[in-house]
Amino acid sequence: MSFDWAPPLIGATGPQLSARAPQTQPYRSDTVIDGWAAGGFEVRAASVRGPGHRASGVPRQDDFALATVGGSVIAVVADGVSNAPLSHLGATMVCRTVVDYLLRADGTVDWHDLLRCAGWALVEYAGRQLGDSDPQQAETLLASTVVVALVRPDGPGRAVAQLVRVGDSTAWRLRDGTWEPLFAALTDPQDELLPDGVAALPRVPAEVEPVEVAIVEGNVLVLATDGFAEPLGHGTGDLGRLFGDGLATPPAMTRLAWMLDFAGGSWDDDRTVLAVWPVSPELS
Amino acid sequence: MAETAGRVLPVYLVADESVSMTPVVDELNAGLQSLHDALLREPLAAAKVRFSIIGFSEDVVVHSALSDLRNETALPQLSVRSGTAYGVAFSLLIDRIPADVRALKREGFAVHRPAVFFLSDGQPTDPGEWEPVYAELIDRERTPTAPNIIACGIGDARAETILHVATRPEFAFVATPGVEVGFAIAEFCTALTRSVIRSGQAVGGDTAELVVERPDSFRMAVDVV
Repeated sequence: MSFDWAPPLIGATGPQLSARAPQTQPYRSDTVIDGWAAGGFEVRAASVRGPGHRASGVPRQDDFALATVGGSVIAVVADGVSNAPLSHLGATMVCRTVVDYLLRADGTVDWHDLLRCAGWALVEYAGRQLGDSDPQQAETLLASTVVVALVRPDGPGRAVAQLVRVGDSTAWRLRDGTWEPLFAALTDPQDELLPDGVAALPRVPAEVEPVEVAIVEGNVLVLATDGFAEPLGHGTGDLGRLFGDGLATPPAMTRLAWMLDFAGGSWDDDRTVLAVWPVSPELS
Repeated sequence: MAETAGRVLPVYLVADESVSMTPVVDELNAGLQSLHDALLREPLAAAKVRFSIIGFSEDVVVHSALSDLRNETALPQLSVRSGTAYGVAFSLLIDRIPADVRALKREGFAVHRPAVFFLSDGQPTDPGEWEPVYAELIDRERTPTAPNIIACGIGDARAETILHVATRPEFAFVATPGVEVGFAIAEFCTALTRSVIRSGQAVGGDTAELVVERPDSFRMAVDVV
């Protein structure tokens, strides 16, 4: 039995650099993989440290969290802002706070309150661990983007997802290999330049309106950080095809992590992908 | 192929080449060499930077057009001529920056707001002329690709002039009187290298409010991450 573990190559070959140990506490692994089946859903997720952070000994600043409650799936992906030195902890705090909030929520969700609580978790964490509960200090140290999906069953092989986000982490409905973005683009292709910064918790938009989308069997709900979203673009290139094929049905967990370890060009950011498939009960 | 080619940061070093720079031009050239060496040691960072070297005196000279320093074997050397006309340097940037950004976008790159590192050791010899050119360069309405300008003054450059040139007060650096000019140049080159290599995202949020009060429904999910 043999398998070529070389990461899939997207675009031109980039420099081959070995991964350095993160010089931070507490311990944080290079890669996280998870997946399970529950009720009418299959889920897979992986978060992989990017070549840039590997080369410079910086911990993975992306994270995700998953949970299931009452037949629904809670899915969260977060990306610690790169110039906030403890943002890897921020990303983890945000993921776990959102899951905790949604596990406690009954019926309707106050999405603005959810994001405010996720933001406050950073302020409180800064206060407890670092002795400074100044929100601006929390932003400087721990800022993190987030995208949240609450996926509820809606009959056999059908689901309805509600999503909110802060920053440039994003989501798609993947249908027959086509990537349908669920959030409006943050940049206009006509814009000359990239935006000067990224919105992130503990900042929360004044108004939060969830995006709602129906997912039927054969579709995939995909959440990701910009380390995946940027090279994906409109999903018509190599990366879009790799993941379009690879996520057509729930892959082996290690296969998702392998795909996500893609190399090439100057794509060096941490990358996280979380996918949810609605499945008919007889198949699950 | 990937659909897009990645992100790049265009960086312009705009250096005073007036005669008064003669004692320090070697140190400046050595500093540029260290920058180049540092970038070659950090290929992933270097892949995201495009660098141009421009010198000005009474005229302006493009020593190297915007390029990927990984492909350059050596950087051009700065020299000295007469005059310190800020206006010709800013005028050149008004032409070159939008053209460079367009060229990078044609290659498929997404482009960060360009950064200009401006170094001068004297007062401008074109007072009254450079200010309107500068105003056009940094006006994001008239110049959508308007750069962030980091300004460093050494020798006879006055603090108020350097503050005027820098696009934000924290982007202005003036060598402390009494500090050797060569030392100030070394500091400037170190700062330049550091900013070029660590061009990470900035935290921003124009429409979002900082959460400053504990929400009633808040509960700490985990004590230790």
